[in-house]
Amino acid sequence: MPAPSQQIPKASFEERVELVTESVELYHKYLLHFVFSMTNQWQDAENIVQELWKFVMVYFKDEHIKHLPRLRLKAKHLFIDHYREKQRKPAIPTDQLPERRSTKTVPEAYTDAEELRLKAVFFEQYSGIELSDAQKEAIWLHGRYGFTHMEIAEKTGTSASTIGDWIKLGRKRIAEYLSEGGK
Amino acid sequence: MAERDTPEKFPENEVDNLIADFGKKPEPAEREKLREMLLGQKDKFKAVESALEQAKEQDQERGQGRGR
Repeated sequence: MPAPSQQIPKASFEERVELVTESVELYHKYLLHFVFSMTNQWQDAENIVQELWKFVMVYFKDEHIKHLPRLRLKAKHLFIDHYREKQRKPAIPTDQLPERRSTKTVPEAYTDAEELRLKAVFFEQYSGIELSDAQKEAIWLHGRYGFTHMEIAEKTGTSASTIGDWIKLGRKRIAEYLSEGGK
Repeated sequence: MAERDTPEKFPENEVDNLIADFGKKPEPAEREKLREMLLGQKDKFKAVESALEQAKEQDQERGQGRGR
């Protein structure tokens, strides 16, 4: 008797385009900055991230398309391949200051309502993590807007050392969640 | 070429950057360019898909052969 078909459900090309597009919207900027932290050059970083999305489109399993640790790891491999292929090292300009990350300083044209929605979407992705609303608020204020522990303490009425503990805890739990297969 | 497994641990010090960049969409022109690029992968995707199907069929045939 022939074995039952063990076909894994697989998205069509069009469905994959949608999945990858969603992943692009969530992680493109982060991955671009991550690659830039290795290249110190925007053009190379952009080329590498474009290669990454092409690779994801063709080779990634459906369930891995929005899996950040895998995307990050593949970006790192592509960075290594890129410089190995060109047999040169990442550019480190000596006659001028290197380009700097701009995430913390360039304000995005998002309204308060959009920011609230993004915060909710972000923590929905980590719904398996145990964090109170106050802890989430502290992590978000620090990561998103770069407020110091002291500033967050003033805003929320909690002590700065507690805020520091919460931020540390939040980083640890989010990183562990991502490392253990969260998508 | 295939997707490599076993991603390394996500570093804690990257969580702040992840939050800072979360949901910040590429500019409209860049999004359009990326989408066109994705759509342009159709032939390659189909070729890989059919190669995988073929390999799977061959595996099944070999498996049935051994069972006889």
